[in-house]
Amino acid sequence: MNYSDDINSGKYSDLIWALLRGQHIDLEMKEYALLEDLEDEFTTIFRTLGFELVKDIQHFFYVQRPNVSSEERQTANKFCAVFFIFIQQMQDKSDSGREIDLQLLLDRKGYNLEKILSVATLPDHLSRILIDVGLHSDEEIERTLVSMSNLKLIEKIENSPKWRFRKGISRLERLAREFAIEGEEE
Amino acid sequence: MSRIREFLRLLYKHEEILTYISQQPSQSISIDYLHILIRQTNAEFNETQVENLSSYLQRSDPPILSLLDDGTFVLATRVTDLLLWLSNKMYLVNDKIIIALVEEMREISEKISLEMNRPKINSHMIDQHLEAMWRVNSQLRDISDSNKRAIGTQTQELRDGAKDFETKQMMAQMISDYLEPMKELIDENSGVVNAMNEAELVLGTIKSLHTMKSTIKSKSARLSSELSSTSVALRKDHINALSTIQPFLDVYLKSHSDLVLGCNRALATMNEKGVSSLNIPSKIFINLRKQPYNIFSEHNFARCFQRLFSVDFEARDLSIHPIAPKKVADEIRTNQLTKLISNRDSIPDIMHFILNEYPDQSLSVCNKACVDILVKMNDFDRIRYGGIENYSRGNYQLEVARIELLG
Repeated sequence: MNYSDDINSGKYSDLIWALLRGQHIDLEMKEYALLEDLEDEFTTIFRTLGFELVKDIQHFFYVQRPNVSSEERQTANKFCAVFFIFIQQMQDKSDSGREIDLQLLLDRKGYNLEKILSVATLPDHLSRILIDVGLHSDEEIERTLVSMSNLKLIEKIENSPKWRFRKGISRLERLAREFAIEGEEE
Repeated sequence: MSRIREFLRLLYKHEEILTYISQQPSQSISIDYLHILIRQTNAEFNETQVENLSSYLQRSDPPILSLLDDGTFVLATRVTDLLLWLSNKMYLVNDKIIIALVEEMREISEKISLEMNRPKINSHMIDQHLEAMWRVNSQLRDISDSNKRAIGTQTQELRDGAKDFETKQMMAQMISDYLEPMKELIDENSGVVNAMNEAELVLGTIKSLHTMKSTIKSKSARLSSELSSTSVALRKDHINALSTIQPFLDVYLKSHSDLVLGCNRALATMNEKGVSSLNIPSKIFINLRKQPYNIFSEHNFARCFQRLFSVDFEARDLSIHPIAPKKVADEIRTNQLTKLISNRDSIPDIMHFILNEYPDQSLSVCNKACVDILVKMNDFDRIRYGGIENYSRGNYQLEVARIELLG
């Protein structure tokens, strides 16, 4: 039986469903090697289903499709607002002088996202943005963090209040850098 | 930082006009009045230059003035805040005042020296000069204390103030500009230290003069000690205050990564124009765990997972017996069947279940019903796909992935 037969037989259905549910499969996950080996086969399958399998240069796979629902739009706004505000808060509180970039974000020690993003500690102009995207309370922010975790963009560190960023977060990091470049061009 | 520097340069240059607008109701002004203000503050401007300046203030990055539909100009909130802050001079006593006081002290020292070199010393005049020097010294001491407190307040404002990042960058740049001469002022070789040392030397000569009145000599000795302590405090207070604020200034003055700048710009746009203006969903696609509808079409579903085909059977003898009346198959009521399946704890094979429930329905109708039910259930967490199963009914066979309903 070749790989295609394996795929058709449903052997990798869990992986296919994980990707269809928006998970980001990165280098740390055992399925990454399989996706890399069978990239063409999986690409064909997802294309047949109306999706696109994307292999990111930061070494993770995810699936996307052109027509997003309103719920997905709201979720994209929530994820980005939470991420942008975290970076801004990190910069505001920074006293180490170290540049905030992807490498720093991927630090395995992680960050206390719930505390940094708590409504009680955010300045008004940042709280307003969270309300604008539908995040009115710490509980809703926490739910967004859990959603991000389901998609493997972040991960809760065991026995710790901290979260760590996974490779998939580089999609949001790249989007932020695009805004910086757009601003320069304007 | 060049963008912020340019913005602040404009702000400083047209501070008078902008301060006037900030004092108006709603911080707005008509276009005609704006032109009058520009002419008043720039007498040499011709009409074109007036027009150019008013449009330049709108086109600045970020804009200082915005033109409303009713033809009035309104001042950006950020500019109003900064102007208010500037007009209070950040509660810092200007370096120029310190320099003026130090200069006054130098003049008094010279006057005392002149008086001391006269053949007949006028002790009353010397007493008057000492009083003046005492006053200057007290003022310098007060300035040193208040600047120390003011810089502490600015540090707090930068750290905790509810301002957006770019406004804080502007504030940091303004504080830095403002403190620059102050830094030179507290230098060990600065005019301030020299003037205080010279004054102390002059006071020393009064103390050493035997013919001088003892009251003046003791006043001079106390003043000398006060001057020495003021000189130390002036430098120490400013050095401490500046070293406290500098790390916070550095956070905003240093060059930032594209990540920080991008987040800052995105948040500023979100704050100003709303989240939708960034059109994030068109730039980043997020697939969700639960979908409102089936996540892919039946057509694609069939193409990927199902292969429906007919099977050729061997020819059989035809019966000559009368055919029994054809039994009409029960119609599959998808809604009811969906409820029935959803309420089950688990079903190892949904297709098998449907085939058993509707023994008279064809394979393709049951298969279609199976897909419809999955769509109606809309709960993909309860579904698990297994290996390919073979189902048959009548002359038809169907190969399809087994679908299990989880509890």
